[in-house]
Amino acid sequence: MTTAADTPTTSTVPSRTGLVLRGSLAAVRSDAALVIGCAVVLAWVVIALTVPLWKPFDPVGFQDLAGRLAPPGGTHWFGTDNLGRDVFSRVMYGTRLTLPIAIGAVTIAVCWGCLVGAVAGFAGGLVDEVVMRLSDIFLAFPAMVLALAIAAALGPSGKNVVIAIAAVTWPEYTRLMRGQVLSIRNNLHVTAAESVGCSRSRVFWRHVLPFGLPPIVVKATVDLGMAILLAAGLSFIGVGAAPPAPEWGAMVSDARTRMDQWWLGLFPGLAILSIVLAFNFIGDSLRDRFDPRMRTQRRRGGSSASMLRRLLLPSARKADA
Amino acid sequence: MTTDSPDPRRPVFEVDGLEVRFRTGEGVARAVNGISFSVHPGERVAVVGESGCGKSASLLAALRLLPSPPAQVAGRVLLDGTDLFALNARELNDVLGRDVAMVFQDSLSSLNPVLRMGRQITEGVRRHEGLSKKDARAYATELLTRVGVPDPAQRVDQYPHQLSGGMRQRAMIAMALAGKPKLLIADEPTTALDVTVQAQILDLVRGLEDVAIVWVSHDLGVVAGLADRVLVMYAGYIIEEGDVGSVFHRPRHPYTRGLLNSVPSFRDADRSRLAAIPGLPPTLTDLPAGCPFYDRCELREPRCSAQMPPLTTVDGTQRAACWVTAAPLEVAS
Repeated sequence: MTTAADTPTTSTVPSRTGLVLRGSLAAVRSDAALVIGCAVVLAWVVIALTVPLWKPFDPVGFQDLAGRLAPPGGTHWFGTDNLGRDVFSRVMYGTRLTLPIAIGAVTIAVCWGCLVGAVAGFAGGLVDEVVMRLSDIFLAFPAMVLALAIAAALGPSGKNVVIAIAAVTWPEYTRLMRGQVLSIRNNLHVTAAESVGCSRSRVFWRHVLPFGLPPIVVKATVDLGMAILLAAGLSFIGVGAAPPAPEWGAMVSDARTRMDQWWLGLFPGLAILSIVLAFNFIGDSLRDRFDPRMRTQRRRGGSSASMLRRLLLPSARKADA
Repeated sequence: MTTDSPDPRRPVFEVDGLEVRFRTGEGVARAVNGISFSVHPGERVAVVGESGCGKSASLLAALRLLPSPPAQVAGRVLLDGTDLFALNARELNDVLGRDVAMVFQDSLSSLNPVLRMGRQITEGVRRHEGLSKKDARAYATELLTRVGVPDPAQRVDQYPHQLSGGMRQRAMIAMALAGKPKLLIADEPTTALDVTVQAQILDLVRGLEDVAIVWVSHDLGVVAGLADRVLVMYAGYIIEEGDVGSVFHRPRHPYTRGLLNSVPSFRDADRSRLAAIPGLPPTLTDLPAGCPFYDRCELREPRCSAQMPPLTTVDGTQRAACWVTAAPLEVAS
């Protein structure tokens, strides 16, 4: 029972009761994941905001054709690509494309999805039925395939990637929010609020919505990582951000044909890996905090660590299944 | 605010033929079956009965607080002359909290855990009377003082979990009183509290003037000490009603007698077992055509299973729904 007290609590979420932190090893482990995740994300955000101030080279304009495909070294830390552009600068600049795309897409998906889901849950009946079947249609497609189709139809640009990703993610928020609304509106405090004459919209904003948010926040965090992965995937296929732009997925795609120049693909790949993993760590820890009951499931293998284990070790996947 | 009703004998609350049905997997549950009663200004009416007899369901339904897709409600409810079932959502919101307010059993789950007490208490009244934030806070403090919460100036800024159970229930009452309602409906407000706190809350409620009270309870002791009149419910019917004194001393319905006999008493502490009514209440999805108490009744007659007896006046203001009992029944204790 004293472990939580001994552990420095560097949480970004203030735990009002302290109960959430008490005791179990899972909490400590989750703390570490949260700190690492936040540190990595914060680092990338700082890079995205400040890179023009200290950029070693222009990510697009600088082209040293004589020194093309140079391996990592003193001048070009991550080497140069086939046009002699500095890979380090391009990877750093990539955040300025990737982060806004991910944040924009998830924000749109959360707002729209939650709104629609809440309306469906509150209205019920025909509205509910129509909205849910519509979201079923979207969910029936694999996310990547649908995003690819939308992005390809709209043409390659950052804005269209945002639209494509938002279009494939919103139904999940709709389902989540609808379920939350349905269960929360039966809480006694909602009836109590109605009994003193609170209007429907007030009941919703004040007494229902705040209680539906925790799982939404968790999902949004994990989805930021997923959105980055999707965006990179779309660029990799060639329907994402337009070619000269230093997009991670596009860089990995270019590197495909030059496996000998390993630095071309490795560094953007690591960038994607680090930020996606970081968002997953944050999401997992937040979930543990918001809902301590989930910890039992976590031990059964719902965490990012075990997800990674399952990805890397096929035998672990079998064991878990 | 409307002025006091001109005729003091006009009921502040009239329920007429209220029915509540729930669609369930096993069929339609008939939770409340055409109950009628009225409450006069300043009167304290208790509704008693065992769990699932329709006490809470009927009152929640009367105020249109039952979510309507599962529940189907019929009948007529007049609150100070206003037909609640005829109001639109906006008009209903105006009435709730201003003319009638409700206190719930579980004060912890019926308070919003993320709102400070002051804000929560005045939430309804701010809408009704357009109080400013500052005035509302002062009013909340005043209300908390009135219901006897110690340190009201501090409590007003605290969250529900920082208050004790008794204080929370007082705060709930403060919240209900905020709109100066003519009618206060309390749904087992003391059930979750220990006896000393319960006694304090009862004192507080007894001290309330100018407000009619409908008090739902299954604690007959509390009812005896608080109410003027009592309604006994069984399987969604009112089976007996009358002054507390007459109903408790001379019950006419065998169920009321059974209920009273099952209250443990110090006088016959030597009795080894508590007197219980044999059997179980009928399933609400499958209510008999006749008296719902038929299977458990010691006085049953053939006609009882054929037709539900109407609620008829048996003695002065006392009414009972039983074919058999013309004379008062004896209570053991």
